Amino acid sequence: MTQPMDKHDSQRSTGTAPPVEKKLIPYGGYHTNKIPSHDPELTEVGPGTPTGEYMRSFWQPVCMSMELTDTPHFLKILGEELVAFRDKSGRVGLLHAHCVHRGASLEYGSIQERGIMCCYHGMVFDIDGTCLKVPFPKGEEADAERYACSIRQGAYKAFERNGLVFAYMGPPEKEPPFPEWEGNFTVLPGDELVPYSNFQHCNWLQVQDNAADNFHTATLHSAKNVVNGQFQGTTFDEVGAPSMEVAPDMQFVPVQGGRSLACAGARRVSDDRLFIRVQHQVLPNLSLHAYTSEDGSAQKHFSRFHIVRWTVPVDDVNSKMIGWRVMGPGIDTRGVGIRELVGYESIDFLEGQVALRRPERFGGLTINDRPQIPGDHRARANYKQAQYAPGDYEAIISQRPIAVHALENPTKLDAGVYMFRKLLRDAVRGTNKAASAEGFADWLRDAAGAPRSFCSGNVLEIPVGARVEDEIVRRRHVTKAVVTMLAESEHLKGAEREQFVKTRMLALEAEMKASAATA
Amino acid sequence: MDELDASLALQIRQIRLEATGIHSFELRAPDHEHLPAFTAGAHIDVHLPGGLVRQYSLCNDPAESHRYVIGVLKDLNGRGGSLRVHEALKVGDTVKVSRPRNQFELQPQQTSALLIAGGIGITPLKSMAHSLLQAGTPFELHYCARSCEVAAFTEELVELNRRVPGSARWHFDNGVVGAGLDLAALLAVQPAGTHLYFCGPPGFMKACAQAAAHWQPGTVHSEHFQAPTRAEPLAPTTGATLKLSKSERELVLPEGSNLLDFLDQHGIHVPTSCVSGLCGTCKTGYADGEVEHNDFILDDAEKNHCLTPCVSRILSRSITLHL
Repeated sequence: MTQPMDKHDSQRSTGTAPPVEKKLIPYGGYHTNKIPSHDPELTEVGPGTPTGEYMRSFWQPVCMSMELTDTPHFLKILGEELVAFRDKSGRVGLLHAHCVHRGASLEYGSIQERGIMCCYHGMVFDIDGTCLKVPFPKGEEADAERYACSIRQGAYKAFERNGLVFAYMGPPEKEPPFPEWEGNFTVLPGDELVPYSNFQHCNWLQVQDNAADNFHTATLHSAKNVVNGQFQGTTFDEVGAPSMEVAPDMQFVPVQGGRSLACAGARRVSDDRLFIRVQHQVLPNLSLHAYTSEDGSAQKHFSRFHIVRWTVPVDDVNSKMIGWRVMGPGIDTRGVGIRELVGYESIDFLEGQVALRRPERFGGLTINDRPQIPGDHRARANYKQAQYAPGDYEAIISQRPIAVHALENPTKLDAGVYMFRKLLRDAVRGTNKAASAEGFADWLRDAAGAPRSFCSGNVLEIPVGARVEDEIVRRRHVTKAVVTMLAESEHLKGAEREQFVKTRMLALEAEMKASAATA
Repeated sequence: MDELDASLALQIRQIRLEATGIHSFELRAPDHEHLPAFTAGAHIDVHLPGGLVRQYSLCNDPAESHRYVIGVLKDLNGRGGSLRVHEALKVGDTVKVSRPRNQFELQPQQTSALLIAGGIGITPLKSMAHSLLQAGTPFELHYCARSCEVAAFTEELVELNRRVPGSARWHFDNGVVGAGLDLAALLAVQPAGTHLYFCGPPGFMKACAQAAAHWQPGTVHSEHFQAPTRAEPLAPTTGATLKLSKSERELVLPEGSNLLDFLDQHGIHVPTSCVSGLCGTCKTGYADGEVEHNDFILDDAEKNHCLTPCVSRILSRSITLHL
């Protein structure tokens, strides 16, 4: 017997909004003017939501160290109102903003030698939430002591690392190891991790989605699409990497038991060289990016991280990209990185990553200052300039405060975005146990807290195919071979892994040169 | 034990010939320490010489804290792991293994359990049988194999049967399709409160899943090691009769043609977007047929009654589509 479609739980795999019926009618906007709901399962992050709970099972960066000053720093993460501070003994605290006594925000509190004192009645809280002091009148110390023992301010474990503050906001008994990717984040001697934080006025997932969307660079970051020649640094051509304006031939491979996605792209540099860039998207909100300024001018095997980035939800309709730009001669072989542009509300990537553009961001200010972030993108003084030359920020946040997946009409080139959402859904639902909170933590422990990444930038000496068809077959073969060697070397560490991959790349080049010669 | 470096170095204390092509390996801590506890259905990663890492289910009684036992079939067509286990590991060797992890747990709320093993899939189910016996939960273990020569753990399963008559049953098909266990008959009626657990080769898993498709959601459990991956390139579809239930038409899908294109050519316009099995826009209900899904969007439960015409292949001679 046929079971009718309406008896099915028809939205199980694709979110909860009902599908929008396609009516391909000229001037028929009337038929598609109703906006269905966003997909709450993957986008909402407050306490108790499926993705919110999943996110809380990972260490997350919550702000930059430079945001901790002599006054407490109010911030929202995963919809929770928090204050972060460094007490006078140097320890970092992350507490619920509202005092457990009667709710005044600790952002108006004063930082103590140990902990923080609420401005309203003087309760002092340690960084683990312990109430250290209750200022009752003289003679009532015993009652004060009893009261202090009866309360605890909500607190999260936090630590600083290379200019970022990381916190774990899940149940204490389930705390996972902090993942030291590849043991040292692949930082070469002489290079360093430079922190940055870029605010996005939209839901976190569309920001993360953008990282697996390799199709957009050929339009959004292409000089030919800037209106009326009003260039503003949003395109690759303007930064000397015009080859990045060519959309790569992508292969998306779920790896590490469905915990992450290898996004491997091939771009032909010349008749002799093929650029294979593998970006690593890791559940739930991490992405590891290879060298972003590659010009392919020289052979390069197994170059590693250039950006380590988390897309951290502030609340359901705001998020921030927080992470490290790797800087120095080891990774940046062209020497194009600009340190003065990497930090709070800025990065030395293309212009248009945040609401403030460089002329406004730096007008009278330096990278060490914290400008006000505009809230309404259409009210910006340079709104029209942004329309002439929009950047990632404009494209991403204008997908609505929470992008509505039910209204999307994806193409096959959106594969990375859709595959990552599927991996996320399977992890959040627990249908892929390996990627569940427990499965992920177990995996990190098994990797001794230092998982391997698939992120790599490679310029291989691979001769071009004789005909277009041959070239397509060849570049896909090479891309797959690169992902395979990265997977096969996952159990190796550091130099051993590097040696394995480099040897295999030399062999791959030899194989492809031989097959070109005989073709 | 250092919490971060959670792998164990264990010694192979015994290798037993359990059946033709199947060896069991008993692993113990060299210092006679207790091993980390495990529950029935758990597996360990075994790090093999040469860098291969393979997962094997623990097949012994979880009440045993002094040893892990794995059963390994020498698979000449496999990826090389089982061959390496059979050829390289010797009694007395030390091997690195992970702590046990479980992705195939027994459910606490069941009143009885039905366990069905196909071939080497017996390993986690045997461990479950030990646990269920211990807990006093009624169960039946059905062990499907080609013949008694390739059926492992006979003595231990006979012992189970001695303690609870009828708890272990064997089904040999001697290589004849249909001569073994009648899954459809066994699973036709789900006794209240009974959960089903099965493990075996891909064809067997599929047959079990189909025969139990009508069981209550959440009561059917199977081992699932690998993340979903897409088979590429897509093989051409075989010919099949399409019964369209809404439009009351019948069409014959020619061999090698894409289902979506074919429907389009016959005036049945399924909404589409990515045409790559990613977005689910063309999701269509089906019944009475067998499908190779090839998509990367539907979840396991949906795959029993939905397909994506853009990439799905019809494997059966006919199928009903809700179009």
